[in-house]
Amino acid sequence: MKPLINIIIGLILLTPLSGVCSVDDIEVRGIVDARTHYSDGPRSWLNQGSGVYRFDESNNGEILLSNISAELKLKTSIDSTIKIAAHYYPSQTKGFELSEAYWQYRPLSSNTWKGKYRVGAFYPSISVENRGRLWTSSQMTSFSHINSWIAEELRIIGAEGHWSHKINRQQKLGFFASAFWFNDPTGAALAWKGWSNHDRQTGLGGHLPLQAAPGLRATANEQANSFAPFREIDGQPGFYLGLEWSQARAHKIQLMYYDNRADDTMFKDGQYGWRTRFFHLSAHKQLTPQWQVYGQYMNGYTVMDRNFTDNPFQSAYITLAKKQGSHRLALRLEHSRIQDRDSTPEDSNQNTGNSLTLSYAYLLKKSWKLGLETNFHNSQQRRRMYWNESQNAREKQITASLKYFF
Amino acid sequence: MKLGYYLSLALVIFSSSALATITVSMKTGAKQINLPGAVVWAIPKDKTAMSNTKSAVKDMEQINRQFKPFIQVSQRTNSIRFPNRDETAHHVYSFAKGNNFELPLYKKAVPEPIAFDTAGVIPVGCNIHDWMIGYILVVDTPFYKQFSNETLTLEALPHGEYEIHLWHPALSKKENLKQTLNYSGQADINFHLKHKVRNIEQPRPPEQNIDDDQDY
Repeated sequence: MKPLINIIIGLILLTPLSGVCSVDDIEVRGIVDARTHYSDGPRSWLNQGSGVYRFDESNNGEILLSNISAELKLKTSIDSTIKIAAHYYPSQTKGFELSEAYWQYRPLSSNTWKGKYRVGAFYPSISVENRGRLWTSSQMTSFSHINSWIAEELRIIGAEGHWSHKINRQQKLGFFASAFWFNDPTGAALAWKGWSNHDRQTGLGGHLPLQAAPGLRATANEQANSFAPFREIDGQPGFYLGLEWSQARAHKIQLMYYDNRADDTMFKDGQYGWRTRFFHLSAHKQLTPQWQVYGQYMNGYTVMDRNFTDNPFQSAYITLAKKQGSHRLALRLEHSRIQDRDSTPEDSNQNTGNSLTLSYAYLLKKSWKLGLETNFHNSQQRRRMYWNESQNAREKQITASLKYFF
Repeated sequence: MKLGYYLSLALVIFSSSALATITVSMKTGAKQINLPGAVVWAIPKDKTAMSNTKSAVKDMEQINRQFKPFIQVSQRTNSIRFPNRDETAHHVYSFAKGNNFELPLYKKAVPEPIAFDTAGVIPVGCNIHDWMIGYILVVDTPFYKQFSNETLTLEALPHGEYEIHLWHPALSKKENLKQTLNYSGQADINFHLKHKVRNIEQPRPPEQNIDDDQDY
């Protein structure tokens, strides 16, 4: 944890802070989110269960302080910004954890080409769902399977370049590439936990609970009883490459390939390297000024300890959303799978999940937002047999949230 | 013959004194059209007719993440100021030949005006907000005006020979928008346009609510 934080702070200090900063150039924004819910299904994965949500039956009907998040944006010059984002999930984290901390440089280059560079720890810009403040969805409370997984295990700790070329007044073609470190155990939570629907973003250096199964004891080295996705295990950088086309912020399509290039035979401080590779496709289309449709598709696989675990995975969702004045309405349908290709019976990770989410939100006066959401989730997960549970689970949840934006 | 789009620039000149008034209108076919912001300027052949009086500094504001006005016009060597009225920073620039500039404008910043020395069109953008676009037209004459409705009047023009120009970003670059006028009385000039007037409006900024992230 310490080396990681030192590296991030070091990277940020390398930025040209010499520019004149006035108080006007600092922005602090955040969200305080209080919720109540009714859940039906297995215990939450955050509560050592196999359920897909953040909260479970154990606190049905209680009013919970769900999270407090804040971000700081500091302009060190007109083309250079430092952004730091932190999240606190009472009862699920000990305090605030940094979720992003990076320097962004956007120089003025020419009429037709624009470059944008980021150095530090950040999300790759691939989510068409989480376009809201602090990497949340402005339409929904919960994230899709894909974005829940990204929130859990995927963060870029390194550098990214993004170059876009203006084809004409409306259209742009973009390319992006990144080299990163500290993402070697990524894939562990996906294989050993499966796909989920929640909104918990793992902090840099943070841990996630791991429900022990026989497979954990069968590994050559002793896996810690928690996931720590942001670790460097083999010293090798990973990379991603992408291509995107957009038209006047109304239509966007993007293709990306990610490979963490982790050495899956290596083990360090209780965590294995998981070689994780995937293709990711996302698209967003504004149908009318009010209606939009967007979705993401991911196809890849993760391997640990020379095929001790070898799990191809796929996930896709599509959301139809309406935004009119203060009203937001959205319907999301998703289907996800994990196949088990290895021959390790004590580590069977096969998982299929179908999820339907219907959400309505209303912007109240000034800085308040009221959200109502219902989710139905049917899943088949072979790992549940290790805890003498039925492999099939039907889960449902109704959530009411009141958010304050500052 | 197929009826194409054309624009007629009708000039009615009152030559009762040494100073004339020109009334200008635009037409497609027989119908008058309204293209607000379009600029008409008259360059006299006799340069002594140009009284080089410096007009006041003009503004091109950034307000609600848009340029205001969308089209600004200025006489060569006069100045334009770019005040930022927003609660966010703008990085205003242009790569126009001879008139290129770059202005870092933090919240509510009011910078020193910029004098533009080269006549021509200056497309202005913001490096932070991609959709922001505005135009400055620098003309080498004090005789210019912008349409605000269907007719335009250029006043107090000394008698003589002029080049009359018309410009708007919606008008095709292939059009001939320049004609010469040598008048001694009343004159009508028609610009017959062979190309369609494009539907170019100032792009609207994306909606910004408390739950949106500006970076997307």
